Amino acid sequence: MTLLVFGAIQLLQAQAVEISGTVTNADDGSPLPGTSVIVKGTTIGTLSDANGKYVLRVPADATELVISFVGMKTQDVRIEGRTTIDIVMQVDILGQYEVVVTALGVTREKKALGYSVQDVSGDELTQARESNILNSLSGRVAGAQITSTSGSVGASTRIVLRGAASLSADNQPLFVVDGIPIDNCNFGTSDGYSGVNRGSGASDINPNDVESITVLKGPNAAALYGSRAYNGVILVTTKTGKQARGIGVSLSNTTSFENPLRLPDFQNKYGQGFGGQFEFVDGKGGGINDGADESWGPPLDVGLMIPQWNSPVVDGVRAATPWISHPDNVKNFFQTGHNIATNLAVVGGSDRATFRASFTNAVQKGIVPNTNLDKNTLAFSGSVTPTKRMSVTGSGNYISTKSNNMPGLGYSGQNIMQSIASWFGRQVDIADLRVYTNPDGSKRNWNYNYHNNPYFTLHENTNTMDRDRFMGNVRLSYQFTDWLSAFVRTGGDLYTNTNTERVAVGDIENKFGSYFESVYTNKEINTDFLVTFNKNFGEHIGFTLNGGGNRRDNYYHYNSGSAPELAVPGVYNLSNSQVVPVTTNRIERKRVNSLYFSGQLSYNNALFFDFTGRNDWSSALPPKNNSYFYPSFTLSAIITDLFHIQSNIFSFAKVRGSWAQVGGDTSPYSILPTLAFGDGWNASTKLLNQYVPNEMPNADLLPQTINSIEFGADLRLFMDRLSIDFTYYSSKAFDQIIAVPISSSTGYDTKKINAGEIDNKGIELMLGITPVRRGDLVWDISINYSRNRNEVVELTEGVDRYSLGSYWATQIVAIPGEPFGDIYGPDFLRDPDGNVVHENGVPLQGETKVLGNYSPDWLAGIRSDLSWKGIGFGFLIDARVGGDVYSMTTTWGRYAGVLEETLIGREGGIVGEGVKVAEDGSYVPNDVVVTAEEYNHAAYTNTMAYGGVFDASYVKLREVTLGYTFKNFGNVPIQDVTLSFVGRNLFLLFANAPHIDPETGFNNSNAQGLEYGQSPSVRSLGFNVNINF
Amino acid sequence: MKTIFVKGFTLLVAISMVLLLSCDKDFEKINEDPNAPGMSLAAPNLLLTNAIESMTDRIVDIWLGHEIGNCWVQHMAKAQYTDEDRYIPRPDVTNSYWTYFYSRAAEDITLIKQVSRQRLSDNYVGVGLVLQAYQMSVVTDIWGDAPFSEAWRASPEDGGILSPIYDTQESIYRSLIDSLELANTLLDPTGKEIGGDILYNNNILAWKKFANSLKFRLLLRMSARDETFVTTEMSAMVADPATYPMFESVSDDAALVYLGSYPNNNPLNENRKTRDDHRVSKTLIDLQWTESPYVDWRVCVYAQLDGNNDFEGMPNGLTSAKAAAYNGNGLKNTSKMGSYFTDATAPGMLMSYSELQFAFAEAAFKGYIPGGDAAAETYYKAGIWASYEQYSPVIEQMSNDILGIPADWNWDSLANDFYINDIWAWDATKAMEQIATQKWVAMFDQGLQSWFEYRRTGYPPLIAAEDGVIDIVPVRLAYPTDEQARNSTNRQAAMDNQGMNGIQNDDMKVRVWWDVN
Repeated sequence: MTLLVFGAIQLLQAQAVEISGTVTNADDGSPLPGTSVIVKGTTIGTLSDANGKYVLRVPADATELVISFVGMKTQDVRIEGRTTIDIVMQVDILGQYEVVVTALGVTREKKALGYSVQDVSGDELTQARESNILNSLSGRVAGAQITSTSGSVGASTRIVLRGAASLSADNQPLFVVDGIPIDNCNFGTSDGYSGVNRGSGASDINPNDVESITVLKGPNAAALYGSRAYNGVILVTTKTGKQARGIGVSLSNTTSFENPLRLPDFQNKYGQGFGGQFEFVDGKGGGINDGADESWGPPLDVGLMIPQWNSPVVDGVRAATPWISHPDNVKNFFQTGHNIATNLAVVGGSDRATFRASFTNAVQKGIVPNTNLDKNTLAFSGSVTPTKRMSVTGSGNYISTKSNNMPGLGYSGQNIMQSIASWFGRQVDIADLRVYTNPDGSKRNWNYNYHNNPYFTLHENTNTMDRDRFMGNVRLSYQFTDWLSAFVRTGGDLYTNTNTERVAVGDIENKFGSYFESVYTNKEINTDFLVTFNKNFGEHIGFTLNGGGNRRDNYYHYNSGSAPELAVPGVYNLSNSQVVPVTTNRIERKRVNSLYFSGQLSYNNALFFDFTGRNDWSSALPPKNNSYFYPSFTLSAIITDLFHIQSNIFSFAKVRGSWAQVGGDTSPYSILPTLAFGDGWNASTKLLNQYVPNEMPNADLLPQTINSIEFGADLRLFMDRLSIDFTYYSSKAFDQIIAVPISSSTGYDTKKINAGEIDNKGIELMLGITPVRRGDLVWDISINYSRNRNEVVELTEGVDRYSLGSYWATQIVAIPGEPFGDIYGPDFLRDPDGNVVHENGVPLQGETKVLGNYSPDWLAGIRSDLSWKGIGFGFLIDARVGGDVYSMTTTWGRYAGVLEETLIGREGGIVGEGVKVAEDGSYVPNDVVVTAEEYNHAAYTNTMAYGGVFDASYVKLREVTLGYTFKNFGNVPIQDVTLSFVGRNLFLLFANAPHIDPETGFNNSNAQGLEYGQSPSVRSLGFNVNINF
Repeated sequence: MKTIFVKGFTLLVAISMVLLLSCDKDFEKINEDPNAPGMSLAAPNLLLTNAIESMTDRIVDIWLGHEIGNCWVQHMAKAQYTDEDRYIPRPDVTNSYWTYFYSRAAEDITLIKQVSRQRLSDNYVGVGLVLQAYQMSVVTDIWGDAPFSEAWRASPEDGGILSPIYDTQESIYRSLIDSLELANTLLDPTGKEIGGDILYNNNILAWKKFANSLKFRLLLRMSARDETFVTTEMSAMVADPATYPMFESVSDDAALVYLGSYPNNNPLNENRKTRDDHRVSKTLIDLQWTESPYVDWRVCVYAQLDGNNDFEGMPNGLTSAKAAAYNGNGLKNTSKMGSYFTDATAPGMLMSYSELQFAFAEAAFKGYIPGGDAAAETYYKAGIWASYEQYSPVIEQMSNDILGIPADWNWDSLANDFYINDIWAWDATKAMEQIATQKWVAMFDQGLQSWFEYRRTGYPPLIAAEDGVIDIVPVRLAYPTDEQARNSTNRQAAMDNQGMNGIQNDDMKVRVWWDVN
């Protein structure tokens, strides 16, 4: 059969005409290797070689060639009988004819798309390299809300495109690397009370290996990826070798230094204690308020001499030492962190094969002492073309991630911020805490009641992470005829993650110490095929049809063990437990089979109609409802081409519209009731526990659905000096599978049902401006702006609120009629006019109600790039306006008297603004004077949320880069060297919330808008060197 | 030639389709949960272990039993973070405990009863009824009207009820009396054995005693509402101990003996590992020590010596600032709870023999059971003695050198000295005050039950928290806000029915049905 196939090729080629030529770059006349030259309307084509030369046999009836190269304007060239055609390619400044990767890895001209996509090149990600690639997208993608949760090493970043649509899922887009979906789950997560934020799956993507990132923002672009793509898709294309270019080597290094972007504003006038009194005896209540971890004590720097934790003890008597402030005690606690990433990449290729191999070493030292994260990534990609019709491509990434310690977070003794940033004696000299053990082995600390010495926590109670991950795929494609091709591909994302948590003997919360270890394996294997039919009918009509299928298998296997109390101090092993170790184990499996098709009908390459359809069969749904189909349609028209408008003012205009539906399933094991195992009663013979879980399953679940429409326009004006891309979208997510809270008197807390509707409507605007383009000087400005209006339309009957998470007495909820993410907590008690009601001079707790919402009103980014003769200067400003945050750092910091504003009324007291109840029951202005301590203790607590809710708007100078490219090294085998200085997160230009960086979160979940004790976000400054050989 | 392409194409598609779909005969099996037993594997013994532990944990642990029960009834007081002690319960605590009581142990108990009925294991059904009655009585005594007849019926086979109505407390009480009667009938020491019982080590007679003692407690609690019924029931019980066995000694106490380490340690033990917020109430220490003509030596069990080597109680309901400053240094100069109660293995008391004796005393005094004042005195004394005996292991280890404990003492002689010398020797003219007050002393650390009894009897006369948000000791907890969101119609109907206005704090002043004081 093979022989016959080749016979056919020979036959075809025998009738052909040979055309050759050279492709050059209009900018500098240099040859352009790798340019695609295709006979229009066919798939017959070739690529130019290292010298830009190409030779192509074209059928005798061929009339036009299409020449394309990423970043250059695609050209249609009429053959007109010529056999030598040299081509000069123009740089496509605004990417009008840019080619983008769309769903299923199909490369399409951007102009033909009926929905909004946005792409980011790999260079943008490596110049100012962030260890978490998602952080690099901040401010670059219209409609993307990116929240870097904290500044601790390896912390997760949350990305939401076009607002939250799901009550139960985390609302983040699907990540697809080289066509294969990868896992973006949390490797370890913190909440408001405990835990370690170990980042999430996408943070393993190595920026150095990324060719480009394409953001498919809504269901319309992503429908073909199925259930998980309802929040959009982040398509990552990794770098590959280039055909016929010989061997190229590049070496790059990014080194940056980090420090905290913002720390709370502390007061430095009063030290530890209560009521102005303090004297240290034993640090746990034995002296005068020496167990206190608050700063309502005696005034500092006024000449007082007081026995303190570090005062010398002579003959059993603790001497009085100067009671003085240490204003920078918290600031100096943090160290300069660094982030050093080095990449070595080798690319090469011949006519028949290409490859790229790359090694990246990234070493990160946190701003929190003794925290780090090291990542080594080995990436390989290659392609072989054994015959003209067959090609085999593959890519693989091995990523090893290790941390010796990641900081504990939340309201926990394991979080050093709990102590030093809120419950603290402001006079404490932290530098003197560095030695945390006395020579006799006893602990050395400023307080022995509630807190560890922060250095003890960081050096003894370490949290490690060790992950080995492989992501890769192999793809075999075959070109049957010039109009029919197909591929089969299989790929996977597999990793094993080991986390350990040590608590040393003598810890304040667990005096016996403890050890916890979890190991889990996660696998996702996708196998798919796609058959593509592509034919033109006549001169005007083009037609493409793809049909394919996919099988996805997910497997998750978790084991954990803990030694709750150590028998031998300092040995961290599950066997070293003086009580019965606790073990858990969980296995989850899920499979989704899918068949799908997509097609495009085009007219004159100016009017495009696209359609898709996909049917999924999910193992997680009840058998009777486990099959579901969803279609999409898009239409786009290039007005300028359609009506042959040619104008210097109006160079390009496109309008587009689309409608899409995406169906979804749920997590496994949600259908049938089961029992669960409890902790067990570890008597002489262990008695196992069995109990009824608190979530009621449902054997009648239906697939969930999201419908979405999108309209947009793409305009280029003034010879492409101004481009406008505008999108309006509206989506409706319904039949959501949620665990709806039910009265616990049913015996269950929640029941899985189909309910709820969430609508999102919004606009996205991208502006590209080139104010200057004169000779070598080019100044580009790009602006993006987006606003999303979100409404929880309904939940289900009898349910007024759906909790997305909670913190102390405050919940993050979805309430019908309100936007997603209301902050719902106790207000002050108020009189009918809204004044705060006081009793004995302090405000009282009132109604629990909506106090804010975390969804922002709008997001914007402005980027400026100036280049002149190899010098590049760029900056990026990123704004989030609107939305609120509930800050417990502020609340507890006021309660404990450590924040600057608690100086108000320290002398003379406070008269709270508001009213009190007079004897006759009427409200009269409050005139009762209370101490600042009493007032702050009453007004700022876990049960008084009102005072802790702040506007979370911010404007940040996200990035500044200044670079220069050196060329022409003569005989030295170096092509070019680029040196740049880069800064990330340089300034918080504007923020309404006091004390904190309002861009923050406990984790990647829907319970955003909550803050307490996150490691401060970091400002980084550094340089980047890139050498190409 | 073309056919070859078509064949190749067909082959590729066919292979792919085969890969994708054909070998998926076991597709539905993928969703069978490998981690958990299906309902058909429900094991009453395993469920029982969890039900007993889970229920006892909720009764004795910090946020409800300790911070609300013990503090409100002034066994304990808070020395810092005094909100609860000032009658400001945290909303999430109210929500959590409602949830715990209904959907944790209670749903397990429902399943125990269900599968055991099918398997004809009456003893499990009986044990289930006792546990359910215990827990449901606590719920209604805290909140008044509450879901019961329609509770635990969410599954489609049981009616699929997702918004259960609230039954009146009276109907709940009458149902509970009936179900304890049924439990007593079903529990048969010669019947099928049970397993997994960490409370009584599978001793059915002990469960029978618990069932009847609990029934006696509930009858007494509702006595003011229906004396005739209560008299008939109680008389029948004491007249026929063979049919209605009750606690006969402290060894019959319904107390879960916790184990040494987490998660099987006493919840107070777990709390004290990291917290130091609680002190013994001034009300109790004044009564036993400071203002007592003769020392009630149980003070040494209940409290620890403070920084001044003395017993000193913390007044209830001070602001945190006042509490911190109390007696010069609130944390240092007041007594912590006795280590007996905070030990890892401290028993979680559900009902004591001592309590039953005081209940008999009151019943006899009021004529619900025969014997009159003489019997009342006997029972009253027995209650005090039982309390001393309950703590005898600790009492006998007390050091007698510092506090002036008499020489040659044992728990019995100390009880005797206390009874003879103090003002608490039987006096029929003050019978109710004596019975209820000594019951209150004996039931130290049984915060919820003591609080219920205080509400019913009005003894001892407590002075409300100094800086409380209401001016009486609360007589109920407001309904949880979760129910407002999840079962609002029925919750509102129950509030209307009981005359609650839903205004914060006010709902803590509305009395439950049995509370006629």
